[in-house]
Amino acid sequence: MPENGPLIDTPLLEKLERLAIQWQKSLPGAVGGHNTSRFAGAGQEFLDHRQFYDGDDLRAVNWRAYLRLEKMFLKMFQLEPRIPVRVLVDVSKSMLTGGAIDAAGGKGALSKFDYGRKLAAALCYVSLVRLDSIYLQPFAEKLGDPLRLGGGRQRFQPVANYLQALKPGGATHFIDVTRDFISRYPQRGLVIVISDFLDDGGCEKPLQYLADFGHEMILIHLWADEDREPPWDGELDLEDAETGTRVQLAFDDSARAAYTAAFDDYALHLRNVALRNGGRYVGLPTSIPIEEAIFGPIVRAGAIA
Amino acid sequence: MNFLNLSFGELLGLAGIISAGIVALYLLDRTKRRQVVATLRFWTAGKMPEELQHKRRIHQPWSMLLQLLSMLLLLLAIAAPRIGDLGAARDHVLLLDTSAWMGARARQGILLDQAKNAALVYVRSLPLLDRVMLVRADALATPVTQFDSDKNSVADAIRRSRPSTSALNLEQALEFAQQAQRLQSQKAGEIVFVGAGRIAKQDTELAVPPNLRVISIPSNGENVGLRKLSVRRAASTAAGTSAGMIAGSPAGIAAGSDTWEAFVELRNDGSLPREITLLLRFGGVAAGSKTMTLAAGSTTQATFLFHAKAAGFLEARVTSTNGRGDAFPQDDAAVIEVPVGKTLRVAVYSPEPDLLKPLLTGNVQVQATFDLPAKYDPQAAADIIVFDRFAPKNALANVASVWIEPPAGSPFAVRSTAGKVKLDRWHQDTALGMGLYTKGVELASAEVFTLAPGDRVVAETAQGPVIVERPGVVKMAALGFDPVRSTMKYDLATPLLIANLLRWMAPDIFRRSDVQAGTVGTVNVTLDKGVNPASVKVLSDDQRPLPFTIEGSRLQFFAGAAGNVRVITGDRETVYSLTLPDVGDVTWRPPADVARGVRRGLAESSSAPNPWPWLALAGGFGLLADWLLYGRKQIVRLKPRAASLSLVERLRRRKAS
Repeated sequence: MPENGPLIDTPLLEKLERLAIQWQKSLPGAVGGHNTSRFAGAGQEFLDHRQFYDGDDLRAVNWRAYLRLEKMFLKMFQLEPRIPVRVLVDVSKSMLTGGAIDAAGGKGALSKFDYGRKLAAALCYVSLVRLDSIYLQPFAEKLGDPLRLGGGRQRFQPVANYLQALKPGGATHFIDVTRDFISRYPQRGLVIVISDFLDDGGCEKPLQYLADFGHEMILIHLWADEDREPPWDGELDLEDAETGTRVQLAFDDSARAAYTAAFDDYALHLRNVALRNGGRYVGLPTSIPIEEAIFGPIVRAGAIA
Repeated sequence: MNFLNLSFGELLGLAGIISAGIVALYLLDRTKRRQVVATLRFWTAGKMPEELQHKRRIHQPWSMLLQLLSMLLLLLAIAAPRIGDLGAARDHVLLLDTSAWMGARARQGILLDQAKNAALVYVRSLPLLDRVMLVRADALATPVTQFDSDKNSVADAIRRSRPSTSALNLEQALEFAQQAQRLQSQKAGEIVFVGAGRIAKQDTELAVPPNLRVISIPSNGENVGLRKLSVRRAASTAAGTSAGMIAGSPAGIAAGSDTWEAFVELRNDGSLPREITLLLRFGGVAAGSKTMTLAAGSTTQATFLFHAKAAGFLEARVTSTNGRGDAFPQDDAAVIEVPVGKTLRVAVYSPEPDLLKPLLTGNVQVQATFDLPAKYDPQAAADIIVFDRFAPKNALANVASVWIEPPAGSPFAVRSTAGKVKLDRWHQDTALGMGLYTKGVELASAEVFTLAPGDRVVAETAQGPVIVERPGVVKMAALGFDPVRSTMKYDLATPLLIANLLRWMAPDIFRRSDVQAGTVGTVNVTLDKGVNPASVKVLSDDQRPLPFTIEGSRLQFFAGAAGNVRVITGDRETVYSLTLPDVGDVTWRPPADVARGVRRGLAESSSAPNPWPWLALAGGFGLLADWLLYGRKQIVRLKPRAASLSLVERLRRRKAS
């Protein structure tokens, strides 16, 4: 992906306008996206007046009523609580593999990292259009600095700038990331994880913790074609992109079949974790175009509609 | 067997390096492929192919051997092996006559074409291992190749030879060939001269080397050509006496500022008298013609007068009128450029302007205007201004000026005015006083000057200097008396003083200018008497100084190529347009004991094969066979596999099952 090119082109943004992120759980303390609240608080719609007390916000005083009645009244607004949408983007080194060779054997396919950034940008745009509150949260060994956004499509440019400034690095530690996430965000919400889920320590248990804490999960599993079916033959000197560990082995068609079967089993296991906890799972090879991935597997999985 | 391009050691060294490289590449090919992957958790080892189990061994030894053999064959082709004894090879010097005369017409083409063919026949007749150095011989002996056994490169150099414009200096060429064989050859062979051998008359007595072979190219010596063409401004006095009625010129030509004199020299090199017409054209218009008969071996001159108010090209052309062909047409025409005639503008401001008119209007190169002081115009265009008893307030500081009896306000300080003084002495070492002499001149009145720094006294009386010159960037002179109003007006010194004055202030205008068309090569110039050798300059077209020698009154320089050369000697400038080809006077007759022609049977060992093309072909075929047998298979095996089916599809299939 070129450094200065747009993450998502304008025609795709126009198509994303009609989508909305869907969630299934009823989360305590939060009202669903488009349901109004009976509680007063920070909002834009006027609800009622009450008497002014010391310490109240002077900006909410009804000064016209004060001039007429010489009494201070405070304006109250309708509370519009939203379910927070938190997008976790994997920026570990393993996300960089698989970007050199596409399905036809030539150059041009995106790496998982670039693909994930584009996908995150698309989901953020959908959320912004629907006035949801978004937390964009990169992670690898631990959580990175988040970007908090809300308020409409005009706030999309900071998202794009933030995603383009992300640099990949480090190994994935889902258990540390999950622990940090739970302590940092006590309020339950929707968690969208965009990752290749390749953690030597395993990521099934941390995901289970996340679900047990009350978050609703959408797992978007990315892989390159070579991650699932390596194209090489003969003696290989393999190096783990994250840890640098090296393994030398001979590779042939039978080993390739065993590799692919193990990968598919792992993906199936992830899917089961998500579905078992009321979440959703989407597996995406990076050879599928972004638009096709959004309006195909992601929509079919019910993550957005 | 010998190798011409590489020594045996170099061949072995190169073969070793290439072999080591090929073997190393074969070993490297068996090393493991390194790959960075996202994770190692799904990888399991497969069954190692048998061919990979012995990875330190070369599993395609035949491929490697085929490549090694092919590379060795290619190296041998580069080394150019020759079968035969290299020690028996001889070094020959081939002197190819490329003088101007070799451009003469022959039955087919020119003489040089015949000489090239003869030289090629000689080169092909040599044994294969003999080496040949080609030297192009004209005024200079120029080596074109080193001693080279590659007859094709020598033949190419022979074919690229062209006739030059200079004459053959055979003596120098033979000396060069002997020296080359002495210094560079291992075993001296022959010195072969191929050409017509047209040389200067004084060079006929040559000391020929014992190993000389001459391949003569016969030529038709019937040629009439121009040897010299020169132009100079016609002298006024000479033109006045002859009235320009010189034979061959258009009638009625009278000498003037725009009258030029052309001098043409012709020579008949043939053995028969020739009747020719000499035609002179200036700017494309006929300026004169003359029909004459030239005796065999004679040289004739002709002179023409013509008018030229502007610069232009003067062409002299010789045509044969008795129908006989000319063997060498290159010297039948010559063109030179006639320069622009310059005039000197003099402005005179005097209360009595008519007095100075006789002095300044006599010279056609001087264009003088005479006005009263009241009409002085500082903006008037003039090269010299004469102020007679008049000093303007705003005299131009960048124009040369002459002040006669200057009043106060002039650049010259008048010490006193003396009456009835005798002109005692002229300083001959000054530019104005050079050659002037008077006796008993008594001036009724004369201003005596006070000298400023740099001023030089030209003439003086007992009271002090009365004529002063002031050199510098802008030259000035002051006369304390008016020579045409004094008793000196009848003296010869008066016009000579004015002439000296104008020549000193504007030397470029009065510099005598000649233009000559000559032949390329050594040029001899006869210097005027009294010319200071330090003031002589010989400049090329681009104003670069050329080397020259002066012996007595003879200046000599050499021009190897056609072009213009300017020779400046004092007040005279001669432009040599060296465009005529220099042709020798006589044909050289080699001594009777000198070998002639191409020796038959010389190439008895020239059938030794030169196998490098076959070696190169065999090497190429070997590499091609290796690629067909082993290379293509390797490429197919390493091709990446096509992309796999998506996992979603597989999950669906598994779920369905």
